[in-house]
Amino acid sequence: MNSVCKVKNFSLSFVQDKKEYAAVRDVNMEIAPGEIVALIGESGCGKSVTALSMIGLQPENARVSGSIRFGDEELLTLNDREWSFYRGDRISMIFQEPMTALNPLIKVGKQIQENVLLHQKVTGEAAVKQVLEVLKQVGLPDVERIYQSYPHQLSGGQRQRIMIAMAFVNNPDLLIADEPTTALDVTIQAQIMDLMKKMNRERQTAVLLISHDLGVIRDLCSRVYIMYAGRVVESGPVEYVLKEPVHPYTRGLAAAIPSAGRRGRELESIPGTVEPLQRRSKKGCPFAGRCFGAQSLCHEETPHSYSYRGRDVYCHLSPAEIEKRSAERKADHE
Amino acid sequence: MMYYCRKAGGLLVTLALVSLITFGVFQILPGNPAYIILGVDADPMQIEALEQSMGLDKPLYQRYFSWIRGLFAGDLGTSFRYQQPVSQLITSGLTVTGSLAVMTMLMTVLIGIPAGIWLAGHGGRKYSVGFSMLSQISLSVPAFCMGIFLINLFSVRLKWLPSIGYISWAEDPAGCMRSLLLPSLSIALGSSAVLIRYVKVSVTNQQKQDYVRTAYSKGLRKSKVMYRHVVRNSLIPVITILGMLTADILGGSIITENVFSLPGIGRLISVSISSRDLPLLQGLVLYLAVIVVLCNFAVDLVYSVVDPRIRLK
Amino acid sequence: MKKYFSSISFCIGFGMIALMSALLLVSLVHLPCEPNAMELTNKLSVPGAAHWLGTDQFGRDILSRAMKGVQISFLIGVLVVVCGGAAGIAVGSFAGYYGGRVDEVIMKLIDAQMAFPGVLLALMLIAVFGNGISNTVLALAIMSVPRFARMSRSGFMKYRDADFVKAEKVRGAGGLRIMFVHILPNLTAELAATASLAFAGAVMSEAGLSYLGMGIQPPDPSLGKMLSEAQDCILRAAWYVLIPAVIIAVLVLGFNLLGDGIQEVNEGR
Repeated sequence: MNSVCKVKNFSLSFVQDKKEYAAVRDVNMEIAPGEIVALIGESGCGKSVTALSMIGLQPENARVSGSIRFGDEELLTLNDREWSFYRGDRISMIFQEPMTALNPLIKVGKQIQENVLLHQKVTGEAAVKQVLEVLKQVGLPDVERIYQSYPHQLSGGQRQRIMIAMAFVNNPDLLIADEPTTALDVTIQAQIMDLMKKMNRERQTAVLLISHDLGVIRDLCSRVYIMYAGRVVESGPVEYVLKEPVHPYTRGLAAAIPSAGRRGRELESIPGTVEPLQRRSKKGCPFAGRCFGAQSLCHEETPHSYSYRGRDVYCHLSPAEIEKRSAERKADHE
Repeated sequence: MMYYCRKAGGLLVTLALVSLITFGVFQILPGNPAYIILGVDADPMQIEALEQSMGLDKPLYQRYFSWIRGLFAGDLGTSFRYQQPVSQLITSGLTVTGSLAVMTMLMTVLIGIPAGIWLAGHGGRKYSVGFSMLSQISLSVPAFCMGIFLINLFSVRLKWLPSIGYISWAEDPAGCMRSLLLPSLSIALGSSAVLIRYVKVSVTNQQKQDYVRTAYSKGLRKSKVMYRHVVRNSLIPVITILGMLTADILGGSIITENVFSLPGIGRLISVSISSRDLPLLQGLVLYLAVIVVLCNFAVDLVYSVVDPRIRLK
Repeated sequence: MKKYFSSISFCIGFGMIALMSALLLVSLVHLPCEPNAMELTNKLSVPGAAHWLGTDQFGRDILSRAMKGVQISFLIGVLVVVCGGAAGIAVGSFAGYYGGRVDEVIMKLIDAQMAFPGVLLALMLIAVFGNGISNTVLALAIMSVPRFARMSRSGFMKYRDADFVKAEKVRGAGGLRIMFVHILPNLTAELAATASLAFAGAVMSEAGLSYLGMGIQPPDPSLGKMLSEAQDCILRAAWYVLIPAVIIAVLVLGFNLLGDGIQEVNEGR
C-alpha cells in the first residue's frame, strides 16, 4: 500500500524518577493518502501520545523507539529545526480543547496567517486572502469580522472551526485530530465532524482521527485501529471491525454502543478497568486480566497477529474459539 | 467604557483618601504647630503671625479645603527652612528623583525581564536553588546598605565612579549618568530580584498552556514560540508588578538619595523632618503618594490596552 | 514544625536567626565593654585582642555597640509584629469574615495607605510624634498593618463558608467567637510566615530610619545609626561599615528566608 505515514514497532515509555514505564508497545499503523483512519481506545491507552509522537510533540520525559516514517523521512530522529519544516505544513494537528488552544492575545486571523507565512513564500496580503478563503471554507460567517476577532469573542464551535482552518490552510498531507469534538456541545459535534469530512475530500488530506465515539467513526472512517493498554489489539476496515468484531476487547467495545438493531436489550460493559501505567505487567496480552477467554498462555506471551476476514487480530485464540467462549459465558450469565 | 469609569472613580476616591490621610496626620500633632516649628522660646508676636499665615485660626475643614485649593493652583505654601515656595522646591527635587527613578526602573526591567525569561527557559532545578539564594540576598540587603557596599567597592577601592554628589543632565549628560549609576544600581538590585521571580513564574505558567502546543504544531521553533507567543502572554501579569515596583523604587530612593547626597525628594524629606519644616514635608509626602497612585492607575490602563480580554469586556 | 525543615530556605533562615538569637542572649548576659564608653586615645583601632571588632571614630567598642544594636533590632521587631499584627488581624478578619461594605471600606483605606511608599509613612509619623523607641515602634507597626490585614482577610474569606463554621453558626456561636476561636487557629502557619516577613521588614525599616537620623536617638546604638557613622569614615576604616551592614543583612535575610520557607511548605511546593 502506498502510504503517507507508516508507524512500525513504535514504543514509547515515560521516564519518571529514573524508572521507565511503557505506555505504548510495538504499535504498527499505516495511513494512506486521503483516507480517514480512526484510532480508538479508552483514556490512558496510549492513543494520544502515539498521535503526538507523529508530530514530535510527545512529553519531554517520553522515550521513543521503533520508527515513524512520513513518506521517505524518518520522523523519530528529527531535531527541532527539521521538525519545523513538517509541522504545520505537511503534518498538522487539531487538539481537544478549542477554548485554550488559541493564543488569547492575538487576533485569530493573524494566528492562521502565521501558519501561511511560516511555510509559504507569499506576501502578507496574499496570506490574508488565503486565510479569508479558508475561513469561508470552514463555514464561518462574516469572515472579515472573524479575522479581526480575539479568541474569547468566539464560541467553542467557532474556535474549533478556526483550529480546523489553521490545520488545513497549508494543505497538509496528514492531519491528526485528537478528540476534536469531545469538548463541544452535542449539536456542534456533528457539524464539526461533517466539516472534517468535507475538508478531507476537498483538500485530499489524510486524517488520523482519535476518538471514542464509535458512531462518528462508523460514518466517517475507512479503517480503524483499536488500542488497549499501549498495544493495538485489532485493526482493519471499519465495516468489518466494528460490525463483526473478533478480538474480545473489540467485541466488548462494540457491544457497549447503543444501536437501533438492539433496542430494548441491555447495554453491555467490560468488567474491570485499565491497569494504570505503573502496574502493567510487561509480558502477555494487555487485555488478559479482563478477558473472558483468557488462559495461562495469555498472561505469559504477547500474542502475534493473524489475518481474518480483512482485519488483523492480536489474540492467542482463533475466531472460532473466541466465539465459543463468548457463547459459553453468555449461557453462564443466563 | 464602564471599565474606565469604574477605574477613574476608584482613582478619585483613593486620591481623596490619600490627601485626607496626609492632611490628617499633620493635624494630630500634639501641641501647637507654630510652637513646634519656632520652638518654645519664640516671641509670641512671631507665633501669632505664623498661626495666621498657616491659617491655624480657622476651622479644620476650611484649612483642608484651602490646602486642596492651593494644591490645584500649584501653591503648597512656603517652606520655612528654605523660604521658597514648596512647589518650586518639589519641582527641582523631582528632576533628580525622577531621573533616578527612571534609571532604576530601566535597570530593573533590563535585568529582570531577560533574566526571568532565561531562568524559565533553562532553569530546572539546576539553577533554581542558587538563584533563589541570590535573589533572597539582594532582596534582604536594604538598598542603602547595598549603596554603601557599592560605594566601598566602586568608589573607594576601584575608584571608577564618583561616590556622592549629583551632576545635572543639562550640565554634563555623561557625568549625570555616572553620578546616578551607583544609586540606581543599589535600588535596582533588590527590585530586579522581585521582578525576576515574577517573570520566571509567569513564563513557566504560560509554557504549560495549550496554545503553546498549538504554536509548536504550526512549525514554529522553540525560540519563536517563546518570543511570539509565550513572552507576550507572560508579561501581562508582570505589568502589575512594575506598578508595585514603582512605589518600592520611590520608597527606596528616599533613603538612597541620602546615602549618595543627591538633592532629590528624599533628601528634601529628611531635611524637612529634621528642620521641622511641616508645609514642605506635607507637600512632599502628598506628592509622592499621588505619584504612586497615578502610576498604579496607569498600570490599570496599560493592562486594558495590552489585554484584549479586559479591553472588550 | 518538623516538616518545615524539608525546605532549604527555612533551614538556612532558621540557622541565621539562631545565630543572631545567640548573639542577643550573650549580649543580655554580658557585653564586652560599655557600648557608649569612649576611649579618645584609641579611635578607629583595627580588630584585635582588646576590641574584637575594633573601635569607631569616638573610640567606642564596635562589638558591644553592634550587640546592643541587635538587642534594639529584636525589641523593635517583636513589638512591631505584636502591635501591627494585632491591629492588622483585627481589621483584616472583619473585612474577610463579613465582606460586603465593611470589606470595601477597609480595603480602600488599606490601598490608600499602600500609596505611601516604603518608609515614607513611618517618616511622616515620626515627624509628627517625634523620635524615640516607642514612636518608632508605633510608626513601623502602622506601616505593617496592611500586610497582616491582607493576609488575614484572605484567610478569613477562605474559611467563612467552611462546614465547621456553618456548624458553629447553627449551634448559635457569635461572630467574634467563630472568628477568633474557630477560624484564627487555622491560619497559624500563614500568620507565622507573615509575622516573619513583617519582622524582617521592621528591622530593615528601623535601620533605614536610624540611618537617616530619625527613630532611635543617640547615644543608644542602633545598627542603622552605626552604618551612617561608619560611612563617614569609610576611607579610613572600611571594615567598620561591613559590620553593621552584614548584621542587618543577616537579620533581614534570616527572617525573610524563614517566612519564605514556611510559605513554601504551606503551599506544598
